[in-house]
Amino acid sequence: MTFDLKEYKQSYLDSARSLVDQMKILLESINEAEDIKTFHRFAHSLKSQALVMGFQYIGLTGRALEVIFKELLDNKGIMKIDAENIDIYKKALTSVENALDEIEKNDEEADLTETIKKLEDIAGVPILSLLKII
Amino acid sequence: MKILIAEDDKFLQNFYQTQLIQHGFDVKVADDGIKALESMRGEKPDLLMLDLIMPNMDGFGVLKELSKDSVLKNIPVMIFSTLGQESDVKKAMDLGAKGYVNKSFFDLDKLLINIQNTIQTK
Repeated sequence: MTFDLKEYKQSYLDSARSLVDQMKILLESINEAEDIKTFHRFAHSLKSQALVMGFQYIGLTGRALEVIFKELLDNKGIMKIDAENIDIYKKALTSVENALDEIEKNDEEADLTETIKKLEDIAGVPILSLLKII
Repeated sequence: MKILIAEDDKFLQNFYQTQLIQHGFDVKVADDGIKALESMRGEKPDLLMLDLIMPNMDGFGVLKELSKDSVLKNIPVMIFSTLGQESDVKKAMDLGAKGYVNKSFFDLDKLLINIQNTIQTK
């Protein structure tokens, strides 16, 4: 049994765009643990919403950001928030915005492989390979 | 049958609530763990579907509170997991959850079976 994707498309797009907007605002001055926790929760939502709608590349972009910010949250000391990484996160979110526009126009998701690869390098764990299991 | 969905994401709240209402369930939603506990103390659901990552009180906090409550601890809890939360699911099951469903990969048939199976653990 499945559901009609079109029934949820607009509410998905509105919700995902709102999440991306809030994540971009957070990145402007992210430092405190509470901001990192909130960003992690938003990345988790970005992933979950996209995957339930069947948009795997946006889902995996959310997953990669979720992994990175969980690592920062747990303060394992290896990963740092620096300007270079923040720029990569901002560009990733812009790619997600473009992918959402593409879904709105054509009902098709753009390929975000390059975006995910860059995040994967920071995360230090395989993300793209999850495409095989979802 | 009464189901309480504890999930902070409004889109997923609405998605799951709509799907379950269409299949005859009486569904309420709570935005976080604290509100979920308040709701359960007001009206006991037959099943709690619980997200793990929520603001104010997360799913693990809810499970710990339920285990201390002689009235609510017998309400079966089904975890909402997503991709990458395998270790979290194990931790939640150790804390008393009776079942789980991967909310990222929606399969209504599987969800309905999981709901029945989890409620039967009561």
